[in-house]
Amino acid sequence: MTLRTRLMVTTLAVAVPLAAGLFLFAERTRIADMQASIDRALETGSCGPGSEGPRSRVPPRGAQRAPLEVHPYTDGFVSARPDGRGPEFPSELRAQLATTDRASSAWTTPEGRGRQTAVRLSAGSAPCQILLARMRPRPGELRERMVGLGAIVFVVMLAVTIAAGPTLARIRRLSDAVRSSTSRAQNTDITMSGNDEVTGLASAFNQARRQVRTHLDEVEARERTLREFVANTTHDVAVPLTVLQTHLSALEQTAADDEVSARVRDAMREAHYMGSLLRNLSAASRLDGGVPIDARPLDLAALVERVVARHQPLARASGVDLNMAIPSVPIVVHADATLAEQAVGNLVDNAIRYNHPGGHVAVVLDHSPPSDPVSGFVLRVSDDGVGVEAAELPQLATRRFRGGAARSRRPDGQGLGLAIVSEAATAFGWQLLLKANTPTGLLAELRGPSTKAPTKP
Amino acid sequence: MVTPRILLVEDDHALGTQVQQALTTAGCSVIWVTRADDAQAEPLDGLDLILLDLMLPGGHGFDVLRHVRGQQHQVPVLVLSARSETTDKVRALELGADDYLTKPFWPEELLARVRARLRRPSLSQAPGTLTLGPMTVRVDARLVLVDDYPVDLTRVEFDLLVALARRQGAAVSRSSLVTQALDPDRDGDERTLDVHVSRLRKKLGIAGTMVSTVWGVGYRLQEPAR
Repeated sequence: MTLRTRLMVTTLAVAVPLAAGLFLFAERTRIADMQASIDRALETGSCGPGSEGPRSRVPPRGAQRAPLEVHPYTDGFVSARPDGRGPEFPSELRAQLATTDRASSAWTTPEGRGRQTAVRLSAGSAPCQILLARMRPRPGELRERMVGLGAIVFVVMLAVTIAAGPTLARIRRLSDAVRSSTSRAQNTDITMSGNDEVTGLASAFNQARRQVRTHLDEVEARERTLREFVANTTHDVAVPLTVLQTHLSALEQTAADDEVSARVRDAMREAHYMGSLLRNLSAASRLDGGVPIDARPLDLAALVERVVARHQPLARASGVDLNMAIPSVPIVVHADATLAEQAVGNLVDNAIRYNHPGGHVAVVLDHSPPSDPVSGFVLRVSDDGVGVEAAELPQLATRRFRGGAARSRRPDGQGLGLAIVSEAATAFGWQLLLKANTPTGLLAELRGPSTKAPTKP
Repeated sequence: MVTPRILLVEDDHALGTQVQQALTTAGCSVIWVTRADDAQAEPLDGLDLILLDLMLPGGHGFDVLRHVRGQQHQVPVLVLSARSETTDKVRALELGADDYLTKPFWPEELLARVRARLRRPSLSQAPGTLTLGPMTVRVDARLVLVDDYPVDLTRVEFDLLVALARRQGAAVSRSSLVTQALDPDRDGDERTLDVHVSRLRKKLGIAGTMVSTVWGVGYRLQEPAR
């Protein structure tokens, strides 16, 4: 319920009973007044024809009937007028007169409730023994009263509305100001003129907002520092790691015997692992940091080629056969290059890592079948490695989760790999599907919208 | 082939040494500078590729890039970025870089990108005729010769061979082969692909061994290593 409605309802709830009370009080006064007039008429009344008695049954149009009339009756309640044309004696008064000499009651008339009183005259005042005096309300009196009361209620409501209007408008202005100040760009205080509770509310809000803003700025500054730190550390580690990888690569080609060669391959796997941790760390810090995704058109085919090239040394060191197929034309997707590369990289990385010597990994990028409603791409990374329990598949893409038996053969970093794939996919509007491959292994599938780019000249 | 000349701009000494060595081993001649201003002083003519680090003393990698492109020089530039920020790469590509590589990288990753860049301008082989080992495929004439003897292939087998030969050395996915060679109404789908390929191998005789099955992908046609 809005404040305005509540105010109206409250006003009505107060004004209507008040009006009713006023009405009742006025009615009482009116009846008392009528009774007094009647009593006066009776005191001076006589059995003669009612001085104010009706001259005709139907008064001329527009003429007012006399409000007060006096009628004489015989003991037998028969009109004592010479023409005998007095109104019938009211039955309720007749019953009362049996026990007393004076009786009064309400008189229902078309104009509203009137008043009537009958008195038994002292004996010997022939030709009448009973006088009936009655008084009707002034025509239109009731309507006037009702209109008057209605006007009172209306005026009260109007007064309340006028009184509350500016305050309500101020509250509305305040809430508009608060709403627009929640946008981050808006950094000015809310100013409200005047000196009332609304102004107080505005200043309390400003105070709260300043505190929240200060706190937020601190958090943001801390986060920025942390992100910078991650970025700088990534940079500082990336360079020596590249040197290390180059050394290892050279060693691998010149390894004298099987044992040395096996050791070099182990070292290569570790180096690759460090590299992927580093990339995942910065990818996660970017996904978490609320940094807007920098999605631009890029060629997914070239990206897949690049990712597969990066993982060939790991595959070779692990004794896994890594192959890929990409279409001859570029597949253009809208994505953040670094995140997309990391997402695809993690799928390939997993497929090699959770495999065994002699195993296979296949990376196939294709246009989606023409039957699909939207033209897009399908990227499948399949392996014949250890696979994942069917029950574990749904949680696989959540952070910090590593498959129980199979995929925790080694402590796999922060278990970020597939979570990053999943989060990046969500950010780009892609779908990630993980299912068991037959007979063993995992099949990961990424699907999303793409456009066919014209072949480069 | 003439020895490709590569300008390497990298301030890290250990990394520069390694990269230079890897490139030299791969048959390239490398000019190595460690500062951005030195790189801008290098003459661009006769260069086949620039490998450019971004965080450099004496300027930024972007300055070098601007300098190169400002001279309307078309030498390919491969950016070596250690920042995992996308904006750096996007910026580099906008300024005219052709490709980028994020550290840490493996030397063979680098060599693959370098080769891809050096190879790009010259796609020499005429599309009409494809030659692989003992086999010659004349696409327009729909003719296959193995050791100069024609081989009789069906329409599907020939289209399969062309699809593989056009991308020799690379694996071609099953779905891609089906799209290129199989008419779904007459020739069936992926399940019949293997039958067609095995017939093709048989008919090609000694050249048939060049067609290999690639696990999870499809098939590859590759010239035997000499």
